[in-house]
Order: sequence, then structure tokens, then C-alpha cells
Amino acid sequence: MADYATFQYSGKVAPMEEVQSVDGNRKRIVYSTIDKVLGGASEYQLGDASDNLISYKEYTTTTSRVSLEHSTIFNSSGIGLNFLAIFIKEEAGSSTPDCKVYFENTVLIARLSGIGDFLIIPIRNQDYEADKVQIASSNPNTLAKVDIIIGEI
Amino acid sequence: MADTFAIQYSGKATPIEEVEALDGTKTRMIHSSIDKSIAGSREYTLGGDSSFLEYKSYTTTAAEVELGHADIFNKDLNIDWMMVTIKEAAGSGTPDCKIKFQAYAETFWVWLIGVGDFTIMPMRGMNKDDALIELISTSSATLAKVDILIGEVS
Repeated sequence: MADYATFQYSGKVAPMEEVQSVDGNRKRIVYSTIDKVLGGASEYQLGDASDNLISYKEYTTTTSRVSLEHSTIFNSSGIGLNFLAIFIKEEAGSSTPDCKVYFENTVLIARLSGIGDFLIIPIRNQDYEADKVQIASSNPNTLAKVDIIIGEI
Repeated sequence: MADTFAIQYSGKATPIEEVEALDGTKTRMIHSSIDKSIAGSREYTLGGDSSFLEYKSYTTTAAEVELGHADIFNKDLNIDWMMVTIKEAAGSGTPDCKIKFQAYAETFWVWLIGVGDFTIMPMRGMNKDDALIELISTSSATLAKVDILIGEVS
């Protein structure tokens, strides 16, 4: 039996600029004004693994806002969010998929666009009510298949 | 002179469980109910103005500070992408950084704790006003040195 569940997560960001040489060739380099690549990595220990504190859902967005607790997503009530990550893995419409993320049911805090786009949000110690987190796509052409992973403590 | 600016970013989240064998040995493995690690990577092309890609090394305070404040970016921002990462402690305890996305609300929805913790928040096409995003540490003991990277498209 598992003792505890935890998240390991990491990210890397490179600011880039594209420069053009005299012969017209273009080259991408790390943005010279910033001159650094940023990154982070952390682990978030949640609790006893047997309490199902980590949940994963593969979900296809709709054009209506749908709460994370809705039956088509995690189908559970009373989820206290402490970690949220959403990744677009595939398009489910005819054009570039997108996924808008709302907190407090009304405040748009993030918009992902394109396969591979993602967000990682530690919400540590907040037990944020998952029924106040909603996701939607902009229109029927931009529906997205997303991976959603959440953690509770 | 550069005519294109972009952010390349990637990330991974791995659910882990730790199990204990009869002899007390502990082993870590991918959470067996989920059995996968999820990851993404993307490039976001910004506007052609170099001012649309901004970096700041900033030390948090125990008071709320807007991203556009003189102590951080000192300018008006229309934010379309953001990363914040804790790179160092600036107090005596474990550093933390809370981020609020709605100035009048009481709740800080993002809470980073510990060196290395970070958030990556694409806000593509949102042009989020800098006045709506605020940073704060919980106490003077948990102040944090953070790296902040912002992208704008207009």
C-alpha cells in the first residue's frame, strides 16, 4: 500500500529573438537583453496516496464553461485544489485548439492555444474550491483534448 | 537588429506514489492509478517590439505589489504570458510567493513555496492589465527572490 502521493513538476522557459544576417539568413538566439534561460522544479507532497489525492482526466472541451467537479470531468464534489496542470494534447475541432481557464467562475486567468500548450499552477495550501474553476474553448472550431491533473492535500 | 521575439517553454508534471516493502524499504514510482507523466512544450511568438519581452529579478515584500509597480517592471503592461519562479530565499524561512489575478479579490490563487517552485501561465490574447496581478510573500521571514518573465503581443 502506498505511503503518500506527491507531484514532481518542472519547467523551462527561454526568451528568444530572431536576427537576420546581411545575407538574409535568420537565426534564433536567446534574447540578448535578458541573456538567460529560466527554469524551475519542485515536488509537492500531498498526503496518503490511498486517499486519491491525485486525479487525472482526459477531457474534450466544449464551448460552454464546465466546472472541474462536473460529471464530465472529475465527477466529484468538494474537491479542494492545491495543484492544477492542464495540457492541450490534441485538437478536437477544425483549427488550432484552445482552452480558457476561469477561476471564481468568472475571472479568466489563462488561455492556452495550440497542441503542447500548458499551464502549471501550484495553489499550495489553499484548498481552492474546484467547482469555481471552469474551462472552455472559444468556439466549436477550437475544441481541445486536454490532460488535466489535480492535487489535493 | 531582432525583428521577432518569442518565448519557448516546456513543462512536465509527474504524479508519484511511494510504497513501502515489508523490509521497510521505500520505493517511488509513477502513481499507479494514473500511470502517466504529462508534459507540454510550446513557442509563443510575441510582438516585434523588444519591450514586449520583459524579465525582472525581484525580491518580494510582505505587502501586495502590482507587476507594473516601480519596484517591478515600472511600466504599463498588457500581459499575454507569465512565468514566476522562486530562485532564492530572501528571509530566514522557506520562501513563498502568492500571486493574485484580480486586484479587488481577497484570494491569492497561486501560491508558490520553496526554491524552485514556479508557475507558467499562458494568457494568450488576454492583454491582462498589470494592475490586476499582484505578488506578495506571507511574512517577512518568507520573502523570496523571484525571476519574472512577461510576454506581450501588443
